[in-house]
Amino acid sequence: MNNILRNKIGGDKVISVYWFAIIVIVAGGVIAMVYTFYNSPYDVRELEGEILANKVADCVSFQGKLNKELFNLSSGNFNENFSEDFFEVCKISFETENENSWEESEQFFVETVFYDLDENEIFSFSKGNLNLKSDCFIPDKKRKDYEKLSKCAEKRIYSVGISEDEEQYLIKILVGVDKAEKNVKI
Amino acid sequence: MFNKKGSSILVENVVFIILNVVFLSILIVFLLNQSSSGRVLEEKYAKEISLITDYAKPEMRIKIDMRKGFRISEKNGFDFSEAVKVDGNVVFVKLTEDGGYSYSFFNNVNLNAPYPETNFKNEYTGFYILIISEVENE
Repeated sequence: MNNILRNKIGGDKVISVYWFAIIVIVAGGVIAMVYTFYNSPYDVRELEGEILANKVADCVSFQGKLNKELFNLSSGNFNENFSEDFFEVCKISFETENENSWEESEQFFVETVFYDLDENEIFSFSKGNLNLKSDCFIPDKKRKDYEKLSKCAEKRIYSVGISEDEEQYLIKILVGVDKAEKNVKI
Repeated sequence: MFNKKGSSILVENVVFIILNVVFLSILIVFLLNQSSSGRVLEEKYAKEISLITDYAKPEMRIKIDMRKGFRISEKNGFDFSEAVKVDGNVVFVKLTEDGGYSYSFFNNVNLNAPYPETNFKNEYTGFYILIISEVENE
């Protein structure tokens, strides 16, 4: 009864219910995997974070020299109000589509810290939603909700100042992108 | 005249092969449909255009391959020239009447009214042209 058709010679070529059951199980598995794969959004946040970090790096230091806007030209010191001018100087906008309550909290953050070569912090500025920063330091990638955390990108560059003695700086740029609702299946 | 054993083996094999081919064909059609569904492509194009714009610099002219999307919009009777819209820094891609997906870019540039490329017969080629320009200061 198990076999639908049986080779009367008694050979191995048997079309059995079991053979089709296996095909159905395999096909079901493939369909389930494909359905899950295509129903999850593409996560582009890491790429987005890297582009943002590069853009900030290009803004604060171009061709190895710090941007003049970072300095208070009359005193020669760092401009403490640079974060207020950041969007205009760096041509960046953190505005997003008004979906998923994104208008209530920014979906990006940028933190830039300037050090001397002995790694003493000299100046820093930040912009965006700094609540996202803590997500960058969660090391446990096996956590169940790890994918839902903000994605971060870090960049370290060296640059020289604008004064004649061309003092050198190490600049660390940390950026984070949230946008979880459109990049992860929630 | 006929070899009954031989013909029975042949029929079994033919039925077996046909059923397998039918089964695999259904599976392949399902896979192809999933990978090129309008919803998946809308998301792909919206994110692709946003990321390209994030990287772009003013005065750039970018040509993006949307031929798969064009075929879907054509199949659904949707006007391809309405497929990509930009509102401020939000890209909106729509390939079917009831679809649509939006994604924002952070690069503060103007993405001036993207338009579909046409050939000398004025037919859509399936490519879209993006022109990046500097934001004018108010």
